[in-house]
This record gives sequence, C-alpha cells and structure tokens, in this order.
Amino acid sequence: MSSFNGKVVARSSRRIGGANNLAPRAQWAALPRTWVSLNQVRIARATAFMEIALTLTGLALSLFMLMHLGLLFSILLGRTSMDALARFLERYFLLQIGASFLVLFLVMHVMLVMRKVPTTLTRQWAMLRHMRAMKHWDTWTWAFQGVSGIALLVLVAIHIWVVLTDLPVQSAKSGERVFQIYLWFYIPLVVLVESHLNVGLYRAAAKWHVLSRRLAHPILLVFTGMVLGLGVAILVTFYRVGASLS
Amino acid sequence: MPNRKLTFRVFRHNPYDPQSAPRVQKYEMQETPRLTLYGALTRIREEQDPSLQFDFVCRSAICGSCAMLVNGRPRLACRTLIEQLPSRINLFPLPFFRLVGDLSVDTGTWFREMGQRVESWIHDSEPFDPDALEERMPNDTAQTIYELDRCIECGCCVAACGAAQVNPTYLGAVGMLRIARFLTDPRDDRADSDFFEVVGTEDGVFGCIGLLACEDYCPKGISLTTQIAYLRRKMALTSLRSSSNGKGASAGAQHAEKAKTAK
Repeated sequence: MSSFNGKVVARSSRRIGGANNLAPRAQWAALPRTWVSLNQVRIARATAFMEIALTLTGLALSLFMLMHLGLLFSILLGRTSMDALARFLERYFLLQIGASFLVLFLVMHVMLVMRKVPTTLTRQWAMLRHMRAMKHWDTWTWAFQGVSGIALLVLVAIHIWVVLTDLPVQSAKSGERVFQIYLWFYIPLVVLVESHLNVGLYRAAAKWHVLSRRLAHPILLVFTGMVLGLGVAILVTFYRVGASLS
Repeated sequence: MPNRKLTFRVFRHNPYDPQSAPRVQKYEMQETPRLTLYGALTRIREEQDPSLQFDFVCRSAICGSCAMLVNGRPRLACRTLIEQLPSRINLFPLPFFRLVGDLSVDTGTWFREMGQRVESWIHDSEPFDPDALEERMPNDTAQTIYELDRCIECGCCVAACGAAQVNPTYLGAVGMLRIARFLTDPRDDRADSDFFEVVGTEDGVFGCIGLLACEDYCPKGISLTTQIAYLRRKMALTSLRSSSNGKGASAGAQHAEKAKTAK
C-alpha cells in the first residue's frame, strides 16, 4: 500500500509478476509508473468518455438545430412548400422521431455539462467574483453558455410541447402562433438558441484545438450573423403569414 | 500621461500576526516616465512604507516571483508598465496560493507538490553512464521541448483559471504543460497510458472548463490551451484504446512508437 494524490492505493501485482522475465527496458515499460487505485482508473476512463460525449451531444444538437433551420427555410419559399414538407415529415413520423432524439440528446447534454458547473454557493460565489475581477471575454462566454443553457431548457421544453400537442404542423398555425403572444416567446428563443449553438461550437473548437482562436473568432462572427439573420427572416415571414390570415 | 497622480490600493495582511486583519491601504505617488509596477512598489517601500511585502528577484520576467493581481488580473509587476494602467491601481496577492504577507505568496510549495504529482523528471530504465555520449534528438523535438520549458512558474495561469478557483486539487495549466513536456521527450520511457490516471481526471485535463484565460494571461506567451488540447486529445484517445482492448495500449509499444517518431 502507498499513497498517491492524497489517496491510499494498492499497487497492481499482476503486471509486476509478468514483468520479471522481460528485458530491462520492457520490464520498466511493464511496471505501473503511477500508484493508483482501480477505482481511480475507472473514474478517469468514465471522465474521458463524458468529455467526449459532451462535445458529441453538443455537435448532435447543433446539427439538429441547423437541420431545423434548413427545414424552416421552406417558409421563405412560400406557404405551400412548407406545408408539403411538413406533410412529408409527418407521413413517416419523422417529426416524432426527431423530437425524441432531440429530447434524448438534450437531457444527455445537460447531465454531462452539470459536472462542469460549480454546485455549491461558495464555489458559485468564488466563480462570479473571479469573472467580475478578470473581465475576460472567454470566461464570460462560459458563463453565457451556462445561463443561456438554463433558459433554453425551459424555452425548448415549452416549444416542443406546444408544437407536438398541436399536430399537424401547418404554416397557417405557425404564422398565427407567431403573430399572437408567442412572438415574445420566439424572439428570445431564436436569439438564445443561435447564440448558444455558435458559442458552443466555438468553445468546442478551441477546447479540442480544431481551429486556432484567431481563425475561430471571425468564423464565429460571420456564422452567428448568418444563422441569426436566417432565424429572424423566418420569424418575420411567419409574422406576416399570421398577420395576413387574421 | 507621465504626470498623472497615481493611487494604489494595496491589500495588506500578515497571516502570521494574530493582530493583523485583512485590509486595503492607499498609497499615492506622482507618475514618472517608463515606470514599471515593480519600480512603483519599490518607491512605495523606500519612501512611504518599509513594511510593505512583495516578492521580486530578477526584475526581468525570468524568475516569476513578482506575479500579483493588478486590477483583478494576474500579471508580473516587473513587466507591467504603469503607463498602460489607469491612475487607480488595485493590487492583490495571487489567489489559490498560500499567503505569506501583503502581496507575497508561496508558489514554491504548490509547484513542488505539483512536480511530485506529475513525477516531473525523466523516467529512464537504462542505468546512467556518465561517460557515454548523450543520446541524439532531432532539432525540432529539442525546440518543442525548449518551448514547453520556457515556463517560469509564476502562477499567473493558475490564478487566471476559473476551474482552479473552485477546485483546490486541480492540476492547473502549468501541470499539464509539464506533462506535455515529458510526453514529447523521447528520453522519457512513460507512455500515454502512464499519464492517464494523473491527467485524465477531473483534477486534470477533463476538469478544464475551457475558459482559455491561462494562455491569455501567461506573461511568457506560452500556448497553454494548445498544450491542454493536445493532452485532451491524447487522453481521450488513450481511454478509447484502453476500453477497446480491455487493458490499454502497451506502454512499451507506445514508447517504441514515440522513439521511432522522434528519430
């Protein structure tokens, strides 16, 4: 028994026994270089999986949102094209299947991200004080992801409920909904979804170093502009459809 | 600009004196050309208050002793020009590390423990022969190792890190930089899987929440986020490999591959 990283641990004898007949260099390679408990290894492996899964669920949700935006783009081509597309999706239950995957990935993403958020008041206070003192852009983007994530959880749940309890999807129904009180619901939803998505993609790219930050900043700005512009254009079109019907 | 009246609000506290209570003390002085923060603090100590504690050794951003929070951000006093700061300057000791007094903190104990934790030395099975020629290494590898060794252990990256503020056992960007340095070194026998238990945890690379402040506030401009991302990819790959073959890639095989790549 020995201690490593403040924990009492046992050394694995299996690998040591096997190493005795090997050449010196191979013997060294076969020896465990660190003193760890089996639990620690398991936790380390689970943590690695969680880190990968967090990025993958985030990517899956981003792809879903872009696909959603692509499908809604049909309203810009006219009401008939959107209605035809909605009929096609409903004929093969693609809406329900899509919504199920969305909820599944959403729940997974929230659960995976929870371990990264300070949970006690003392830690939250320390983090807030740190952020206010540092005035550092990327530290604030992390806080934005947390706050917008909580808001989105509520907004997206309401949106899914409202749409799935009022099937079939029709441009007239959507237009009326946006023209009425739901406009003030959809404006923050669109802005928060698109911002959360873009900032999330940027942070994932920086975290895994897929892109350098110098390159990621302009791409983030252009992409956010495009996606937000498209979202606003779709919202305005729905509003006009609703206005023409009422 | 150099004629401003400067106001310093400095944290004062001696943790070894039971009578001392943490407080902020105000000092004023006239700005002079090309004044550094280190220069200003020396003037305060010489002309106004000889009891003010702060650390310095080299005065040229090599020793890393004079790191402190300047208006909330970690910086080296010796390479901070007063003309780049507003006339009101708040000075606090680095968080995370043990306070020695006023602006002086003990970074050494933490860095020594971190070094022991990541076993910050070359692990080689071959017996040392002082008469043998040193093993050759490609110039690119030597340059990469040199780049990773430029760290002066000032603690700015740890002080700038949000994860470190909420997790006292967090390894910090500097700990991960150290691991990246030994992973790159072909003389070190350790393989990726050997580092996994130390750095592939929530106290290591997977505890990083990606605030990217470590790199932005590193006074030596070391690309810390690139190194953390490199470790994150390596450790993620190691975890996938170890789960696919049940026990992880053989350390010997990985070392052989590492040595081959280096040559």
